[in-house]
Amino acid sequence: MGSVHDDNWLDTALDEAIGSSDTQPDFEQWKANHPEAVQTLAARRPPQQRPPATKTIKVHHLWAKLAAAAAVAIAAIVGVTQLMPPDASDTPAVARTLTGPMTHTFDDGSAVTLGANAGIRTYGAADKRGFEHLAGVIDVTVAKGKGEFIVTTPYGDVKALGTEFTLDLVDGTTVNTKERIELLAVEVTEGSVEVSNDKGASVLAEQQKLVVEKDRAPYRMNADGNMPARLRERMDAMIAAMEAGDDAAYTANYNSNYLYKLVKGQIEYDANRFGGTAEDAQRLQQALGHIASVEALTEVFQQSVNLEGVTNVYLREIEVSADGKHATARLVTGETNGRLRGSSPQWHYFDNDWWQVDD
Amino acid sequence: MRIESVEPSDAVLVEAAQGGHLDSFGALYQRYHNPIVALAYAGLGDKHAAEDAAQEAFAIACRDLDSLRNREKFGAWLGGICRNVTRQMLRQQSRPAPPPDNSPDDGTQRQEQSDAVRRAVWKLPEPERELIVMRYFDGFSQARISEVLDITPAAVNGRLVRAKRKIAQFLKRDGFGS
Repeated sequence: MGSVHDDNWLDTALDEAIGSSDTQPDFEQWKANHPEAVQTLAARRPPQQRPPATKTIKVHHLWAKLAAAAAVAIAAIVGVTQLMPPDASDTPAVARTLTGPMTHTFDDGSAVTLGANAGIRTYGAADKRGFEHLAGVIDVTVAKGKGEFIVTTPYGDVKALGTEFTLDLVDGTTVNTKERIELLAVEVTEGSVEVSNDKGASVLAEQQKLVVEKDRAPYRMNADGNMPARLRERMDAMIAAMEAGDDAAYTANYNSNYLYKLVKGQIEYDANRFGGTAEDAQRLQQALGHIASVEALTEVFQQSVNLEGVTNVYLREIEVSADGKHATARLVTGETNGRLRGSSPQWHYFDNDWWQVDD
Repeated sequence: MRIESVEPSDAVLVEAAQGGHLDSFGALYQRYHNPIVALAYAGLGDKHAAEDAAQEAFAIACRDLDSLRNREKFGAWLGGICRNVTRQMLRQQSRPAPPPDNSPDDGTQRQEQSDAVRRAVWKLPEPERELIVMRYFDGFSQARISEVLDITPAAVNGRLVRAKRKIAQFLKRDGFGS
């Protein structure tokens, strides 16, 4: 037996003594066992919110899997009215909290589709267009020619005129850096929107996206005057590779020729061009010194990259050094399991291009 | 661009559930089921009874949800209900100081060690016992523990360190470890 004052030993002993891996929530079973409680809660639902049709739910699941760009097409196929509770348009406007997955259509024909964990609060006033975004991912289609439509969020307002866009409200803690992340990601599918808060404003055109963090001005890479144009292209490529899970494209951001020379000991270690320490470089030389070609090194590198599970990349900021040769991006990646991960990829300009030197 | 698994806050789910949205209550159930079972286990010392207590706590919460005004405090509110249910069960059993459930007696050193650790945990004052059981029951996050126990994350850390120190002392007195 180890020492009881050894924290690791005590952790293990407590895990073994207290741990319970077989306890699993089963809400369906709980509902079956507590019909009265379920009935009490369900009775609070206003008539227009009671689940009216199985068809609606099925369509929502299908819808939720499609990209924002498909929203109009789907609406045209199944008919927006089919996505709605049948009596919704007959009820007076009242403020309501809605949670996904579902699609809500407003009186003016605008619609919002809520993802599985999304939430919004509608306005009670019938003459006010828009709603409050509370959580999760939503796709918004704003009816044209009806005036200003504003979605308010904790981190800024999104104003739209006849457009389609996706809002992704992120509130969580990164699993690796334990940093609290509170941001709104906006992506425009059609038309344009203005995103603003008390720190600043930015107008987004079609196919553009930006991130606005709590208490910070909206950040859009393409509107960042400090960013060299080529670096923007390279950053876009990095983010696209991460979101696509394309290991080869991601690896192409690194300067394989330089790394090969470093591994073979043909070039001096340079902290600007290799993100690790000198010791890291030495270890790399020991482990991969036998590599016979740049292509072989690239292959090994690709195998070590793991982008599996990355669903979203949120670009929070890019900082370019005073000499314009080094850049640090601050990213948060979202994963399929719901976890957030923070990272700060480093980029450096050498060999006539911008290269990623660290992740 | 989407993350489908970013979770709405407790306040959002509670507000929707208060409006009759059963799936939102279901999301709260999924989120808090295991922590509430753990909390009940800390009081009852029996995992099956703890599961029953948790089921009852959710039933009460479901019926009385309208009475919750501070929606962000759902975890702490549910934890309070769970403690009441647990105390009622103990009263009904006329069992003031519950012993923890032990492993089946196979006489191994490992089993003896686990039994000794449980005995040590159940010697702790209730607040520290709740914290230890919640921490080691299913690896809940510090945030979740602080929500249910309604204490700050810093207090979770401090209390955890003190509780573990006491457990080590109890075990040493019982002749376990060096």
